[in-house]
Amino acid sequence: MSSVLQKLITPLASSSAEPPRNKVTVVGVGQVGMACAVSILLRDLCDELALVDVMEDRLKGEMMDLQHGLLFLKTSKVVADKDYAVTANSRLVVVTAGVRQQEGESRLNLVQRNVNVFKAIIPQIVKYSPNCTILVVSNPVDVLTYVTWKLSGLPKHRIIGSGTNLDSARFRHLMAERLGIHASSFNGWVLGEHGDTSVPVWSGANVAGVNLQKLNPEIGTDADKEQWKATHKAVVDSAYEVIKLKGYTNWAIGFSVADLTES
Amino acid sequence: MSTQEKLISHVMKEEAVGCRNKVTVVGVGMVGMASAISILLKDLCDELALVDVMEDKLKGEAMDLQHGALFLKTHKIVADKDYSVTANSKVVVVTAGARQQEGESRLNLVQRNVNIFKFIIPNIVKYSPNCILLVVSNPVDILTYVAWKLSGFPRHRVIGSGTNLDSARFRHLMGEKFHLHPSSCHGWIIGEHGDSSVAVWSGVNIAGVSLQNLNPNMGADGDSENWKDVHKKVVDGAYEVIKLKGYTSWAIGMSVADLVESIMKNLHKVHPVSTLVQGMHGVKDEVFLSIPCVLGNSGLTDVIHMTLKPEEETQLVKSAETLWGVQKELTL
Repeated sequence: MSSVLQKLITPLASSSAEPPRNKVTVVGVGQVGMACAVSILLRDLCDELALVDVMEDRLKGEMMDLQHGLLFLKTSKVVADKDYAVTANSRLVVVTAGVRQQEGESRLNLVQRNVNVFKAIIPQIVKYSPNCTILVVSNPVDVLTYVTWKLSGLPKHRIIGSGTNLDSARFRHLMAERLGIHASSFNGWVLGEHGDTSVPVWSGANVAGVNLQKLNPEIGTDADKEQWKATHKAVVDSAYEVIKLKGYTNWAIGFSVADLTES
Repeated sequence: MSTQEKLISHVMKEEAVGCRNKVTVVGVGMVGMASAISILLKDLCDELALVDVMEDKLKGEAMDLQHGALFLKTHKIVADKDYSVTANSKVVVVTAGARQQEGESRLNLVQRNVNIFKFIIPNIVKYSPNCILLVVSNPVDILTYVAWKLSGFPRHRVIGSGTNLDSARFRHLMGEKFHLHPSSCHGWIIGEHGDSSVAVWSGVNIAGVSLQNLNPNMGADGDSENWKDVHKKVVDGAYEVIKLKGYTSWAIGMSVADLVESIMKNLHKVHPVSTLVQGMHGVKDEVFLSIPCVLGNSGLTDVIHMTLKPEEETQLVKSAETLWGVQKELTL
């Protein structure tokens, strides 16, 4: 190999490789982790992607499957290992590891099981990327973002929970569909808990700056003849519905994580 | 007046134009969904339709994609067991069918998948008589032939994903050897998408510099650099990933989006894909194998004549005979 390499290529700079500038790590190669990874790759957001998980065969298989697609991507390096050394120098670490909701199970039920998983994960992340930002996706995300903040010792501006980014996206999609416009043209925010008690801020809902609550002062209340409240209920129920139909959700959360990563 | 009426007034009297760049994906398994999201994330269509027989899974996948609509530039995502949902598609990607189990070769899947195609293909044709069929299900070369026969389409509108993925795998491995991006490493794998694919060593180059000129033994048994092993890794690649994670999805999904892009954007790009090769390179039978083809919005409009060594042509003829041996036993 070396003789063809030497005949073909003459290196000009020193041979030590530059560290990556926009490295992203995804912890957990389940359906959510891989949806996040592929969305990030297809949107050209990182120059290196690292994957970590405890299931070694699955991890290696996912890494190889992504590497086979590198021709079509603008990310030159995809690495994976059980050992967190592979995550060193990450700018952003996306944590999707942990157990997921079963059919009918609420997110809060998962807490203690996932806290134990995080006790193993978070110190390792911080060890190898002490300057990273951590984006927590695992559920219940608000509680686990708090747990990550405590376990990591990082300042709070570098610990982010994916939160209601997805709920807001679902809300905007469902509201926009009722009005016949693109989701990005419907402005509406869902805040608070990512889950059963999320809050749709009706006073802010607008299209082209036209406030919907001004057009319909009862919007979102039980008295509302048009029952717009049902749309928010559909947002809360949507994860459970998709889980019932296909066993899990992944694409929407993957796109929403890529959206946050991009910012 | 409802909130909607107070907010919005419809001012167009005519019928809405509807979709102009619709893509359908048949089969919402791992390959189908990886293809679907690669197509969506590359903004290739204004409408995406999904079809499958498993109704709950189909509905769940469609909902999951729709929930991501805010982040996409595809306004309409529809799904149904009924093929009427696929009407007016420009490209129909067929991923449906049984997949290889661990250790199973692609040819084993044939008859099972032919029966599935007898249901699928006529339904596609009924609702999108002018579409371009892109067959991905394995064994892809045989099933592209089957889709061609069952659809009655001219050969330029029936394309098999073929060795587009094998070539991508080869270029990735080449890139690793030279620390270069795969897009700067050129190499073509042609013929059967499978165990008897052909690596055309004479064409392997970087910046036009032929590597075989630098290493005349390239790909032969005496080759000290063991390029033959690189090709073997390509052939084994799918089996290895299947052994580790149960199936392959991401790479094939991205390679499908790459082909759909060339078609939808009328790029006239050359890709190694499966087409009718009867009369070329000594192939006598009506078989589909991968050679470099030009893809645009009419479909597969031109083929490239590679200058192959005698042993490379022999290999293609041998693959063609194997495929024909299987094809002539099929009940279409």
